[in-house]
Amino acid sequence: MIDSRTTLLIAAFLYLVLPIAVLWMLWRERDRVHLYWALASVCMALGILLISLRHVWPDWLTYHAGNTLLMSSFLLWAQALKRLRASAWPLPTLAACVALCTVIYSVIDWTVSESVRGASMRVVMGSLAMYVAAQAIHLAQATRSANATAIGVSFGVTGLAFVWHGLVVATGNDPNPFSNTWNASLLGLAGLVTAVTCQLSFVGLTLDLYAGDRVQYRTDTLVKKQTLQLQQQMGAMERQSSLRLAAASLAHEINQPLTAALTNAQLAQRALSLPEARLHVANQMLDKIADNAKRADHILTSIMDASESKTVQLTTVDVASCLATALEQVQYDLQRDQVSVVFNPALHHHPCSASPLELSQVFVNLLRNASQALRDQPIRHVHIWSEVQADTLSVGFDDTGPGLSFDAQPNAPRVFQTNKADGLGLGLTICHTLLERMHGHLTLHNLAQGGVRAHVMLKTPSAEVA
Amino acid sequence: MLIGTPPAAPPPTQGMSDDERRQCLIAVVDDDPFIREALVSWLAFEGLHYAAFADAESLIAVAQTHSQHMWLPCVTDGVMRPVYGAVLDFNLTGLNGLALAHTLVEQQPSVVVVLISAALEQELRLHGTRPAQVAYLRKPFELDALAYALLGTIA
Repeated sequence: MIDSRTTLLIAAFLYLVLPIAVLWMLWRERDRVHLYWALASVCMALGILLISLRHVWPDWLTYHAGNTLLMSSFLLWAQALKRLRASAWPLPTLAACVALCTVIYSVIDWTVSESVRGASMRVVMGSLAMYVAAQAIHLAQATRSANATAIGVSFGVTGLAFVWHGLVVATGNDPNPFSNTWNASLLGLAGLVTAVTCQLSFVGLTLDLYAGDRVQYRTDTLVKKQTLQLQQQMGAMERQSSLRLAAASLAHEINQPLTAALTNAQLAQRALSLPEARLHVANQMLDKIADNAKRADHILTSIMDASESKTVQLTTVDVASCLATALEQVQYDLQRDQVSVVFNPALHHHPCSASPLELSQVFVNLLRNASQALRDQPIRHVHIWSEVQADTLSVGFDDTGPGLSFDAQPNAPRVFQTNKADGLGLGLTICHTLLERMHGHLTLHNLAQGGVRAHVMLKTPSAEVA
Repeated sequence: MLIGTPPAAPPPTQGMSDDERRQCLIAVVDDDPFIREALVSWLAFEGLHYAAFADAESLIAVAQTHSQHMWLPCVTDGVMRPVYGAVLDFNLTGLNGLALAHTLVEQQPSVVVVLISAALEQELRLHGTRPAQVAYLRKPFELDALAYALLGTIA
């Protein structure tokens, strides 16, 4: 015969101590689930201890509070498991359930005799334990976790032991779980085993779940990254193919006057190379060459005019949102070049008069330039700052790159002027044109501490009105 | 330097002396007036007879008004002359240069045709095969190359 009092006290001790271990092991996860679980265990321990002191302290404190604590502990365990399945009770419901337990005990306490009361309570406890077991089994089915199954089985056995004890007691035996009878010992043993099994399994269970979450998170991040990369590649391909198309149509247009001019020029050469040079033919041909050159120029001008819409609709734009859009677009470039950007959106909520699409494009170009410039640098930071002075809003991009080598610093950047090995130098020209349309301005200069400052100046909405 | 490729077979100048050739006519078809003008200037400079058209349909229309299909009126003197050769732009409104070349070759197998286009030769191949009499020159081309392809001489 196992001494049931000792067993129960050891169980109570374990219920008090093991949650500390649980919290310690799961501290990093910082989830309310662990608090529910630990609180449930502490309630169970206190409940057992209070009931064991029934000869020392008054009944209302030992039996009443003890039983309420025991019932609450089952509810809290169930709550922890439900929370893991994302189906937790709202806090008021939980509080109502605990209150209901007190009411149930009070009703049983007042209405039935002492022996029936004990038996009834054990049946209630057993049902609650089985409810917890059912929650654990549900969780095991959902997560395929052996640890959840272990929790379910041990609570199930405890529940059966409670019910069994209740039924045996109802037949007239000693109601006291501390009575050292064999069925009381069985109950104590079930409590002890549950204490150990459940705490350890719970740690295992949460680690299982978080490991799954972590894998999921990593997969999601990877998928997101790859999608982004693909999008970028597709964007680049689209840009390339549209550039190629534009180049092809341009080449075709220019080819006609070029062909005519070449034919004219060669005919002029022939006319001049004859023993008796035919000057009038050569003169005619030179006129035609000039005509064809003008035609080529006309074609180019009209293409430029068509490709460029000279006016943009200016609205009041939040610089922070434009910056955020631009950063999203260059996220891949920044990741690839391992560039970190110092940007706090809260600091940049300045209104300015601009076109959001165009302004974002300017920021994208400047950030891309910075990112490419930083690629082979030991320190790769871009610091974004902004400030309002009178009616001008300044947005700056300070990088830690090698700086500008061409002396365009005080001037507007010129087409095809670039520091990049693989660039055309069009990006800055586009920025400049776009900003001009928004009545803005761009300057680039080297910083004293190294790197480049790209300084964008825009008008505030009030300045535009004036 | 030759841009494009010479004709697969040499021009059928055999059996036709320079004087005989000068009695014939060279047709120019290009929708670009500047190129048409440049080509015509060159043909006039070489002392050759020519007829110029902006598209294939107008050439066919003029040719069909006469009993002998491959005779065209010369621009300079209005005299009907047999077609010795043709310089055809590929990209024409309506019937393209290659289709016109096929028509010309069918009607007069000895005709020498030079197709000119800004397109690459392999792009042209997508539109159909080129008869052996048809040379291809990519715009812009050397006048020497055109002279060789059309007349078999470097004029």
